[in-house]
Amino acid sequence: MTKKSVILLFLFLSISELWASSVMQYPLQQAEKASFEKKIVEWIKKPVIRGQFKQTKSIPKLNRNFISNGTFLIASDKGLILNVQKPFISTMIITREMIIQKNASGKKETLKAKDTPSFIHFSEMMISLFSKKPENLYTHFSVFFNMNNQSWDLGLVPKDPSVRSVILSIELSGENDFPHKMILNNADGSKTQYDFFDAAFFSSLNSEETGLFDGR
Amino acid sequence: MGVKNKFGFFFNSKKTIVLWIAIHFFLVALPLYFSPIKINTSLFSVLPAADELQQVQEAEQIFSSKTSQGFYILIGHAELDSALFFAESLYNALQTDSLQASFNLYIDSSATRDLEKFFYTYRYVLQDEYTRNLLLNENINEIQERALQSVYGSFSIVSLEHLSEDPFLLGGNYLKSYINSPWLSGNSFAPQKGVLVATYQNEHYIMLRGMLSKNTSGIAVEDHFLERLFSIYDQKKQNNPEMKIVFSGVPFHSFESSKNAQKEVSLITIISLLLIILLFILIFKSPFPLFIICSYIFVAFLVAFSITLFFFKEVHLLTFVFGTSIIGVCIDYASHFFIDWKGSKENKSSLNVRSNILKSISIGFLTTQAGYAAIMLTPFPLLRQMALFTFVGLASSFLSIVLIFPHFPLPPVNKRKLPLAIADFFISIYRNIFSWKKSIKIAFFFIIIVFVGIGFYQLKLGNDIRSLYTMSESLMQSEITASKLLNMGSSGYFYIVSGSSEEEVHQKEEAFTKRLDSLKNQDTSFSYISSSLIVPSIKKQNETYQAIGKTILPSIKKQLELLNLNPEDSSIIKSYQLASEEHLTVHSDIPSTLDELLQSFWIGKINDRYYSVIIPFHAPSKSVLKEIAQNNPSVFFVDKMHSVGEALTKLSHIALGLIALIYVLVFLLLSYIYNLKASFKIIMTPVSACILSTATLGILNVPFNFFAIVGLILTLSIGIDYALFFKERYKTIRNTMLGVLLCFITTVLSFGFLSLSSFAPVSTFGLSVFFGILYSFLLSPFNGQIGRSHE
Repeated sequence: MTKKSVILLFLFLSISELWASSVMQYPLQQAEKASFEKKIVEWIKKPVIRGQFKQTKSIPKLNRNFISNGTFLIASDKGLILNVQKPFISTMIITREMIIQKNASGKKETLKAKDTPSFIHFSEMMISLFSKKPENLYTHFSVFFNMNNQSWDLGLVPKDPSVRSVILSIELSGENDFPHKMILNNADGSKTQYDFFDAAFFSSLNSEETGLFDGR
Repeated sequence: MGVKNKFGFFFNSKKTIVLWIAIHFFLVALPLYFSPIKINTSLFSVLPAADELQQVQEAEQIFSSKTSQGFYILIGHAELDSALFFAESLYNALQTDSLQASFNLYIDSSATRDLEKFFYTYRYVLQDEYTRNLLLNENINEIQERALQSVYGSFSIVSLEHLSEDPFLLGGNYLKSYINSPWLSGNSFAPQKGVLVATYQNEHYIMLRGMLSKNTSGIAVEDHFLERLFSIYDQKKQNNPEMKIVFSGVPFHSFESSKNAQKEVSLITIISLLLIILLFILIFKSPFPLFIICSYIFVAFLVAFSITLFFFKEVHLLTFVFGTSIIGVCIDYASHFFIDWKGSKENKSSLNVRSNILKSISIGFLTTQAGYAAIMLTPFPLLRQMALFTFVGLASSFLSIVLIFPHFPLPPVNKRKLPLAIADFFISIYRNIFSWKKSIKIAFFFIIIVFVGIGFYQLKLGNDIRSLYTMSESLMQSEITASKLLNMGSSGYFYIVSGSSEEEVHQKEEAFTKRLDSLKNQDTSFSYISSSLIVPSIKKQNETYQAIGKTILPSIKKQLELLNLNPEDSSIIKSYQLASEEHLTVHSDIPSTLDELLQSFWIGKINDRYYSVIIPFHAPSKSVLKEIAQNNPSVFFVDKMHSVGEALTKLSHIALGLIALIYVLVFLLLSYIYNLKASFKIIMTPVSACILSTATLGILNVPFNFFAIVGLILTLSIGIDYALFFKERYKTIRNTMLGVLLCFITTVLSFGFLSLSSFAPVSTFGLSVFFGILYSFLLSPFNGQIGRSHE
């Protein structure tokens, strides 16, 4: 066996192992759809969820993880706010109409849906994860789902090849209610993992949060 | 035997047939052998440039031909999957037409990665304006903050895989600006399911982009792929009535208008030909004159075509349209020949017929040819081409009348009879007019003066090119939907930048776009595309490179430490130094998505100059854009619609001026043959007919444009013949009246019918000719002796 074949075999085994341990071997079956949709709707007990997250960006080429911490806010009818607090302050607001990025000094960069439809496709995809509407997920993703007692794993592969050229897949996992982990597998081999904790449910947004979603 | 007799002997012998054949063979075969047949259908390519655009005419034409080849097909359905299915089946069906056009349905999924790689490769010389300003102002803090935000912040479009070689993520700045630029954001289409999709009024539209290949005809010809596209669409539509399709782009308009024009012209030609055949059979009671006339018109057209092709290397479609004046004049000459041939019992042979009509048709021929010869001297290709075509065609027909027709056998004397009752009817009308009291004549004259006054007052002068073409309702609806979906905001205005080198063009573009940038700051919807946005000048690239060296390099170590990466900065400094000679040019290996864009407005080298185009979007106003380019010798503002209109007006003025000059010369020529009064009367027949025709167009609200003026030129050519026939042939006034009447009816049947066309230029031309010829016919008998014989 040549050296090249050995490397290929090794690579194959590693990938198979990854795949075997992954939710991606469980495409959502018709029979499971009802329990899956129930689970998806269960996440969002109330329209507003506030909590904390830890973000880990893994860049295999650099053999480095970049870790940051912050708070998140999900408003199922409006969008998502990720507020990074450590090590550097930055805020990202994703709505159906725009994506806003703010830095520590409050400087804003806004992408509007009407100007950059490609970006809005991405934001719609992200919002669909928390929209309480499973049919939105089916529009954007091929869905994989595995449930084991109280724990569950959800795999989402973007249907759009141009999105797949940036994000290969999204994996979410949880135990009872709200997902505690989300992994974005990027096309360049890097990964972004979000660990969610202290999720709490509320009925409405405060005025400051409403202002953020409205781009103020 | 004297020279004159020798010539007369030859002139009357059958050797003239050999001479005619030799001349025609030479004039047809040789040019066709050396010049491949090429027909130009583009109006823009043959029009002269407006004065201020003379220098960039060729660059402007290249750009116009590039933009006129592209088109969009948008396939819509309430269900995205159904729209995709239909788009794919249409795309697959059209693959057989890849020689005629190229099609693009799918998005290259590697495009983003290719762009990322490209911007990373050229990161030391290619930065967006915002980052460049930060670099030039040595604002390292903000540059650092932006990089850290991409690394530690949430979702980022910038890949971090090169972070150790590019800790400030310089490679990602331009990518971000590109995605947020009007190049991508100009329309509502976004990638979905591997294609471009937009939603409008609850329908999903999928974009199929197309580009005609260079050799594909813009007009409707046999086996044109658009014909097949429409038939495929019809089939699919039958099975999927909910399917919607939107066509947008110049090729659809060219195809539709040319197809309609072909249909109309075919119908008009068939009807008018049938009526002409009927008329000739009724008058001559023999198919012989008709057969001869058709044959000699065909020969005249063939000679005109081959000579024009030889000199211009192509023949424009409009030359054919206006070259049809050959038919009118040919019929005139031949009608007068055959009227005398059939109607005069004194003739011993056809040589006598030639003698009888030679003076009138020779003077008519010379005056007409003088006009066309003068037009040939103008510097405007279309006008020259039309003049040459008609000049050669008329020369051929004149030669046929003089060299061939005299050898036709005369009909037996007992069969030389013409239906003159109709001529008598008109003669009696004119005799009545001549007998009017002076007061009635004066009153009638005043009525005409008032008519002309009103007509001229109401006359709509000018050439608004928008009014020349009215698109069909379905195509208009298509374009409305497309403009909402594509929303490019292009106004049709653009700038052409010229320079002595590629670098100079880029530098001049950059200097000029600074003025557009200040406009952009005032109006956020305004934007523009220029080649220097993708490929900056070497000077600008060097500035960026130097600024990176000054601002970034000293902070690299610190940034690496901050990112907890290996703080060894030597490899980064080395890669920076290696990049000192690596400049981006229009010839560099640029990703296809960007290169396609660049090539659409980079014109390149023409002769010894280089050119590019800047396209403004959502322009505030034309005057503002025009003013910005004023007094800039390297930047030319182009308003295509306006400049084409201006060019046509200029052409019209020159044509009219030339005709006026020619008529002064013709008057001098005539006054040498006749006296001053008679010459003036002859000249006044077509001139008055033109004045009356112009007034009539004014009263009918028909725009008096280039096409109306070309109709008047034809009126002058034919009208003077009518006047001359009456002047010269007064002895056989009944035959002359019948001959002119025959000419008038055939001309009206051939040209007047064109006024029924829905294609505005053809209709205007037809109306102008119709009224011009009508008035020429009505006025020409005043040159004859109808009144005198009555007296």
